[in-house]
Amino acid sequence: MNIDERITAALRHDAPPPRDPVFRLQVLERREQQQFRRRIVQALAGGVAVLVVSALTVSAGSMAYVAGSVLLFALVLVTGAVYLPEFGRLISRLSI
Amino acid sequence: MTEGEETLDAALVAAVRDGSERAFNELVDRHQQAVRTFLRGITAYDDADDIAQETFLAVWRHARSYRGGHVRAWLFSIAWRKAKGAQRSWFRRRRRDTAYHGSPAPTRDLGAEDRLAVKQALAALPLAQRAAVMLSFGCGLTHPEAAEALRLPLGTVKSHILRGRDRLRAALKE
Repeated sequence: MNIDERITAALRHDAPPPRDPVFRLQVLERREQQQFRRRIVQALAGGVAVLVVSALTVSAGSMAYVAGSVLLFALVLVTGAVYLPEFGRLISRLSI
Repeated sequence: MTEGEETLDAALVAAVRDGSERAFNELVDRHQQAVRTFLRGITAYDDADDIAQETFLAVWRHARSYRGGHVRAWLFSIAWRKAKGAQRSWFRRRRRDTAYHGSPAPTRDLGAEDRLAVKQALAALPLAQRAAVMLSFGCGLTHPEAAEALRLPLGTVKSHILRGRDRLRAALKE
């Protein structure tokens, strides 16, 4: 074994196994946790948005029809923002 | 890496971009060893797997940023950026843990002494030099691939590898 081969062998000595299901599961678990956190943040943001719009609706009592439309539009937007990415992902999985 | 493997990798990234779980799992399985070996060489051992996980999560989130080229080099470039980002806190921990890292357990066989000498010499290299040496010797990347991964000019990477190799050779000869 020449000196470069010894260097290579020494550097590769700590290499993990070629297939490591435990590592893969750790990656997937971490990804799920991140996605869960993101969904929670989105849902909270959506809740805050609905509350703000509701407050505006109440304060704009005389313009009930317009305010109601705004509220409905906001709800559609929030629901879309929260669920549309997951829906798209589901569709793409089904199409494979 | 053969041309067929390159094509497969590119197809896997394209599938990951479309949200394929299966392709993502395959990509992790195919490259976790190389990415983790690289990171174990350039960061603290315990941090390496953590950064490797972050690397693959970034692949999942930002597969759209892949613009062709060697997938392996692209993966290493993400890992390299993550490792550099973690460098500051890692240096803090390293200072704190100097006693542990500086006094390894005594070894008996020559192979273990070799490994220890190489590891100590590697740890003494500047970070970019260490990364270039790990990519070239530890992960088997060509010089252009290493340059692509580190986003450095080819000449700089060659120089890093030559200097780093000389230091490791000297450590083995001592």
